[in-house]
Amino acid sequence: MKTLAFGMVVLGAIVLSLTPEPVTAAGKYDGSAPMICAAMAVTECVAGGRCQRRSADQVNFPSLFRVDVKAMKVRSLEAEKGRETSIRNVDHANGKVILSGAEGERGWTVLINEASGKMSATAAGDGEGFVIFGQCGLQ
Amino acid sequence: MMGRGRGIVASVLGALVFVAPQLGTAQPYIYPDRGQTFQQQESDKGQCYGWAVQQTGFDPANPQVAVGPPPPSYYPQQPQAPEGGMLRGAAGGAALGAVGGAIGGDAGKGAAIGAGVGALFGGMRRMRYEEQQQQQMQQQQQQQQMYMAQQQNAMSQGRANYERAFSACMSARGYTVR
Repeated sequence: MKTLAFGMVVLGAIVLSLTPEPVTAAGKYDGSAPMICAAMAVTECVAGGRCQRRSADQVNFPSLFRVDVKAMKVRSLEAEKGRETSIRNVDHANGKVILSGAEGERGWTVLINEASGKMSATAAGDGEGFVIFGQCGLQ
Repeated sequence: MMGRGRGIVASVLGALVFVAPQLGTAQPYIYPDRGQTFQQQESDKGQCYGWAVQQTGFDPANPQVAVGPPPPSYYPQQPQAPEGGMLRGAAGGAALGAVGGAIGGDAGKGAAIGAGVGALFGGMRRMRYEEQQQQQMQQQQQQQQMYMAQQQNAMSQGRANYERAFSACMSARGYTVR
């Protein structure tokens, strides 16, 4: 009996430890404050369906960039490149902030989980596309 | 005395020629039409060997042909490590650290501020390294195959010339060579 009670306590502790933290309606990373994002994994795809894992540098994308929703800018943090693009649209859907824009011959989107700061971005071009996964933090 | 010495040298040379690798070709059969002794045969072989090498420039004991240097072997260049190397692969933790550092002001020091405006997503480019690598490798393989074929042809030609010259020499000395 004692053993069963002890087991229940341990099980309860495990369940509690696995329960995610409560998420506020508007997360920390909803764009109300500037964020710094890191591109952690980049995949390059071509129209034929072939995709290759790359590094950000290999596809000429900054490893670190700043997302400033209020200023409607996404800007590289790498001093020597000093690149930026304007955000055209900002949407909020199901706890995600979705930014999009167009630049040159490409359209792009950046989706950030407002609670966790996890970032997914795409850049679509003519017969090619890039998918970038990363993590954002508050500046 | 001199003649005997030369005969020994010629015999040794002759023996060397027929002990040397024959490049996969069969040795010629030599019949002494005039009843030459074995020693005489060896001497004649050695002298004909020297003459045939001199005439053709091909030495079966050291088969070499001049077809130019071989094409360089292909060693693909490795892509340079990205500047943001710490963000690659399983370095997710490091990436998070970088974000933290950037937020703290380290990575962002002097960054974009005042820098010129350029394309961010528009400036991305496909990495064509692997495609180029494959093309280069194919070209290299073709060149090496061509080089091997040239070398084999030249070797066969040199060998055939040598055998004709050797045969002519031995025939003139009273041997039947087949």
